[in-house]
Amino acid sequence: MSEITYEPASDPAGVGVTEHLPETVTQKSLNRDVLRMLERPGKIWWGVFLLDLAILSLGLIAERNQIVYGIGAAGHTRPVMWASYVTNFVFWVGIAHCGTLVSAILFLFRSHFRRAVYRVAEAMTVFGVLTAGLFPIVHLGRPWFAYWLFPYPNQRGIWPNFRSPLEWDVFAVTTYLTVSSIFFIVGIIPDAAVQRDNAKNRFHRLLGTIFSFGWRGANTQWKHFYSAYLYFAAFATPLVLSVHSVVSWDFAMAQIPGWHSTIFAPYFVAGAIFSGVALVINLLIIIRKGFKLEHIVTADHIEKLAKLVLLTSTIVGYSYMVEFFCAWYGPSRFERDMFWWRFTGHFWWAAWIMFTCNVIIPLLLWFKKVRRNMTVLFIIMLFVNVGMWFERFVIIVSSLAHPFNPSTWGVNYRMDWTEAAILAGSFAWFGMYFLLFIRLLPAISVAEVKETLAPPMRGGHA
Amino acid sequence: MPHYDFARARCVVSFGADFLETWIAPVAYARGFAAMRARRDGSGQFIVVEPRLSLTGANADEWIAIRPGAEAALALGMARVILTEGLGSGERGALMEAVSAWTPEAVQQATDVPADAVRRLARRFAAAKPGLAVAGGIAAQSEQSVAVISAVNLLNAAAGNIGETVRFDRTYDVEGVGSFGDVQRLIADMAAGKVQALVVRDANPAYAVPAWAGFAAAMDKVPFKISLSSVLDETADRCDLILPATHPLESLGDSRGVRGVYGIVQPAMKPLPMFQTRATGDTLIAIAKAAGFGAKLPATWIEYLKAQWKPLHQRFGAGRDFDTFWNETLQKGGVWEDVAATPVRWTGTPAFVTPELKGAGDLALILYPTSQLHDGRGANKPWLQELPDPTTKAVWGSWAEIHPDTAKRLGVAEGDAVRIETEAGAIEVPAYLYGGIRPDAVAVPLGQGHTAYGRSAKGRGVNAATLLPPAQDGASGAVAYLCAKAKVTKAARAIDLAMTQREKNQFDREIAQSVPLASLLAGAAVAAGAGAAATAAAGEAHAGPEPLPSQTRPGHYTSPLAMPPDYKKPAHAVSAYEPELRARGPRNVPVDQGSYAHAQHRWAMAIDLDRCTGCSACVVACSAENNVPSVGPEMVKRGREMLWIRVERFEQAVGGGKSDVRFVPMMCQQCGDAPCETVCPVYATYHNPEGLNAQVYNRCVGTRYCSNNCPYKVRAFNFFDYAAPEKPTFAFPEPLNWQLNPDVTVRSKGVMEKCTFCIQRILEGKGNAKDEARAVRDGEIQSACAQSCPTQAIVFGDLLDPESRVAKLSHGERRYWVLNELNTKPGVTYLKRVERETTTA
Amino acid sequence: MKIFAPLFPLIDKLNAVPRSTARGVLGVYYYVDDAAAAVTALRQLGHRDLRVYSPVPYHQIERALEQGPSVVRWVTLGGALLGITGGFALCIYSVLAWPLVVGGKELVSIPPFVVIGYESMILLGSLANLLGMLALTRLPELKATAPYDPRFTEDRIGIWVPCAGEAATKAEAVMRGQGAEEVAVHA
Repeated sequence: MSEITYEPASDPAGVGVTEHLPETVTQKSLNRDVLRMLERPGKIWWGVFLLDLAILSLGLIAERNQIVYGIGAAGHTRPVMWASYVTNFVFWVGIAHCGTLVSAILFLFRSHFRRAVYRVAEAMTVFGVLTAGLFPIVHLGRPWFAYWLFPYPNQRGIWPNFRSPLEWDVFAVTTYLTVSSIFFIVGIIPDAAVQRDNAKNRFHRLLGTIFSFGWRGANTQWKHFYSAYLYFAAFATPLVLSVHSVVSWDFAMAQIPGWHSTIFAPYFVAGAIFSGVALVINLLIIIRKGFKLEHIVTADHIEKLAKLVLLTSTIVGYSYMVEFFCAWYGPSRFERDMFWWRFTGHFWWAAWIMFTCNVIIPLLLWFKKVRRNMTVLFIIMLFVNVGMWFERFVIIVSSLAHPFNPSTWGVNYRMDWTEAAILAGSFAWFGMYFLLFIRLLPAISVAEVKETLAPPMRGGHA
Repeated sequence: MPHYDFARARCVVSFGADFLETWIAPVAYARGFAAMRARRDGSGQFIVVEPRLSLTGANADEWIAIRPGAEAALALGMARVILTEGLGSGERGALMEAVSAWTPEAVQQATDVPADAVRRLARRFAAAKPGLAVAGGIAAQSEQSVAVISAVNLLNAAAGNIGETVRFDRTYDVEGVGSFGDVQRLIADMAAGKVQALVVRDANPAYAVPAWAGFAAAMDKVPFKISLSSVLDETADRCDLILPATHPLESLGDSRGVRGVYGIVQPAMKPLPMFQTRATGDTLIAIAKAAGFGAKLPATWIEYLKAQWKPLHQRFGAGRDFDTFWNETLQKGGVWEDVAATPVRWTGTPAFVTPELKGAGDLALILYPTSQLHDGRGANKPWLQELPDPTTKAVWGSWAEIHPDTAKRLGVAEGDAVRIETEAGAIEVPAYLYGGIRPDAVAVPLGQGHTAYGRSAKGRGVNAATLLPPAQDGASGAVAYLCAKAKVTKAARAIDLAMTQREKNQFDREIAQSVPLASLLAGAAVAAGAGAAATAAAGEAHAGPEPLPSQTRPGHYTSPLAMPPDYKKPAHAVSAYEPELRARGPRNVPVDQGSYAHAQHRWAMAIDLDRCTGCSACVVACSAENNVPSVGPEMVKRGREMLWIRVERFEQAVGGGKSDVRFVPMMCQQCGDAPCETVCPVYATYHNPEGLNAQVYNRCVGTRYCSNNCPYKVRAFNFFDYAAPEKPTFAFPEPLNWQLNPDVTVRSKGVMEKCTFCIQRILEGKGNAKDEARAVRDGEIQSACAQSCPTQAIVFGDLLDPESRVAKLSHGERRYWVLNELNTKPGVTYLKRVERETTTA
Repeated sequence: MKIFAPLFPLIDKLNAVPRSTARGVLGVYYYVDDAAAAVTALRQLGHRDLRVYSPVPYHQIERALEQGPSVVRWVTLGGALLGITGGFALCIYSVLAWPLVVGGKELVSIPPFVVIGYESMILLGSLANLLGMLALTRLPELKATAPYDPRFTEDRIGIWVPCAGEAATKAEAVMRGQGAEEVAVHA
């Protein structure tokens, strides 16, 4: 059984696993190149990090005001009771999905191009969930009672309402955070051992000591490690599908026109992967350029991710069309009015930003030259993420702003500076974790990339 | 002044009289009007003649948009048709003389009302027997006021309504009321320095008297001015000495409203000790004694009052000693006697000429009082400032109502500021586009623009009375509010108007439904014929009568969903139309701990849209009962008003003779299958055994999911801390904290709140019944909105009691449930508005 | 960095590779086929408790060791089953402990509870998987059980044979014969 848990590089069939890396890369140089990320470039890193902390503190000030004066500091109205915070929540959960896709689903599918990129994607998952997890608390009217949503025995004898989709969220998101963190930390174990044994700086060695848990790379360890890794992947795969389905049911289970739709679960999962992969591409382009790792994270890797973006873009575009089609030909006038209003009413611009960025601009990815041009790709992926933020905004805000009863129409949501600061702060919060991560632990999986190299054989290559 | 009997009238024509808002006795008239409308014999038509459709007009079947000021011409023309065609039962000869000039064609010339319409209107009115024509509002506030009122009186006389609906038995007691002429004399005396001391009580002439009369300037010449006001209004602000009087709720007094009724005003509470106030009577007695001329006066106001009641004791005492009589009268509220009708006779009518509006502008300026602020006296109360205007749904400000065509011509969109200019002055207000106004007129409400009068009134909106040039009615000397033409232009700066409902159209979503009167009458006839069959079917009474044709149009789901015969109802579905089904636990086992199995009541409401006039008294009553905070205009602009009940208005058809404005009081529907409950992650809202959507404020964490999922959008969220005195958003600063109801929690920051049918009153009523070891009686428990409704449009009660009014109404043929296709099974049943035929259409 | 100087001795102590007192032979290899051949030869000598260090797992070595499947999956299955039953049990218990009706739904409404049961299954399954893995891999390894060389996480393969005396001499000979770069005897 353990044979199927990994695909050794020396497999006679070859599976073309070495084709992405140049011959000059050896096991030794890999160790050196990846550990070098912990050291340089120093000054640029500090500049970016301090800027990041400044933005984060702006968000914290806004959050402090909101707690002191009330959630009215944000732009919510009746009927738009959810707005940018829930948008941010869904956006960041969506971002998080890509990591699990790359590390778990592609692991199960034996897509070896994942090996060079999965650590970055997985870090993005964990930090994305850490960011997303803030927003259900930030958006509460009384955030200091957020713990009431957790099922804990208490003398009042009251439990949460397990029929509420928000309670499902509590279970789905905490499970997702736990499982993805475990998956992330377990995956780091062999690489932390590399850092422990090879890093120059004693602080880096200390982190390696801690995160390697005393890993030695013994055969018994590898055996159980990969067996467990397989089951982590096997759990994470249905989990990642369920989490965004559950998030989508926050909306689909409500009966608001524009929300009450059965297509939401697959549509949201595709959208999540779409936005997540786009952000991974952005991060990887920065990392491979900034740390001079073009020979490890190659254009081939990036191109394969770009193809994934193209695929999910078409799924998302199809979902838009199907929603509109169903509304147009369906029996509910509320639904029909809603979709017409969405593209022509007060928030028409948001709907068209969504459609342009998510469906039209990604069509450029049909061209191989575009997929391999890092500058163009970077810009397209930025558009995709803007578009995906607006997709959630459109779904949440424009549906709420046009409910069943016309008497509540016309009071339109307007974003307040508090929300803008918290949105910026959430990027800074994510950025803070990510910046710290790339300076503290190996951001590229040394052990797994080594598997793609030809193993040293006295008898020569098979 | 006669007594108008709306309940007896079979057809009402109002010439500008806003008898459902501010005219004479709106509560009594609304009650009478509702009684007239409730008759199902084909009568009860209401036609309104006014240039601007008021709230009263919005309740009419037909709106005749007459040229401003020309109402008398129409009244005289109608009288002429009645007299020449011999339709009336009243005297003819003397009247004919007065109306002979007003042929229908002449009327058309003067009023813009087609001659044919004049004839039809007259015939319809005369055929009512008795009808009722009333004149008031802007029609009776021109320079021809007396002429207009006389003309309408003449119309009543011609149709034979005198003594029928226009009665002179319980006439209004207006002997003690001063006229504007008296005020003008006072101003002249003050200006001339003849007044040495001025005592003002319970009046604010410095604000309410039009600026051209010069009251404020004249008042400043008086060397010693005393105010006996309980608030610091513009007049008190100018006084040298303020001797604060007790609040009306703390005061004892008496009143004579109509002939034969002597009322005692009993204080509702002890004077609050921290405000150093004294009853006006006590103050005056003390001044008199100190000044040395009050030796004969009793020591206190109450003794003085009792002395005044000695003669009444002689007449009504019936042998009891005075103290017994006094206490009984206090309990009853007064004494009354039957009075004989005063004989009246026709003495001729003043000559009527259409009043000429002054000024260079092209739009007739209509200034009107609103039911919430009236002449401005309501402006210092946040409840009234935040009460959405019944017509525009605007709060906390002034606005100008402009016809959409006129606005288009002026290049003005809704919400743009406009500058309104007359020779007397200019104001800038936001525009409200209103189809219910003539294109050649502009209307501005009175009552705002205070320069003093407390934090709620000061600096809100503009005082439109400053636009008035000097003008008075020739006969009575009353101020003419309809006298000017205004020039309207788009203003440079923008003023945002806070409104609680911006959409006027219900887009065929059937929120406010109606049914033609003819179909109701036909349905009643069929039901009467069915007789025995109906009794046999009574076992299925909850299924109700056959759906009306208007309920079964394709795509409209207004009847309860048809379920297959083997359909098993969900265990807890206690709904409005399944009152017999008791809540049960899983697998139909009673849930003993939750007591759902032993529910004795299903609280519910029936709201008759045909009775609702849109007056919004229920909204204020709800705020008072439930400690609903006022949040101010900036919050209302962001949709954050906290009102638990709102009166939605939908302008179905306004203009072209039509006046189909529908009002829907909308509060929590207490759904049987409530969408809000399921989505709350912490059970802060759940279904209680008596069918209510309970809201547990302490448990709420503020996800606001319930509000999102509520199809009716009736939940209010505490976006800020309205309950904490240390926060800038505190809604009850001194003395407003004294208005709080101690039975109801004041909700804190971050929690959702909503209507729970005044659950504190339900508990009190159940407690009382339990103390007396009896069942709760129908009508014993009333929600605040039901209690305050002048037309009794809202009926509250228990659906499990088949004899209750609410159960009977909920099974009536006009019932429907708002957004019933969502299968929320609301506990609030609406009764459709009745559409009546119009004469001119 | 200077301000952290007092911490350096502590950090270095933590980073120090624990010294093993176990007796046996440690061979260091570069080539995978050499190492696999050595494993086969040592196993023929009767050494069943070999410990092979490698930077990545190699199939050749695994085949030579003839390892069976890991038992971690049974632990994982147990956790998952506990999770799904626990999730449903929590939901059902909580609604029966204090029956509150919401939205006219049954107290025990299974469809929404499926989500809770499903997520609990994944959560507890994953946690059991983690615990199972840590237990079976003997992680975290705080004390040394066998000698170790940092090069094993770079590009070298190590074979540790716990033995003593004559067996150690034999094992050393076998290792050298199979192309070991270095062989160290710990006695």
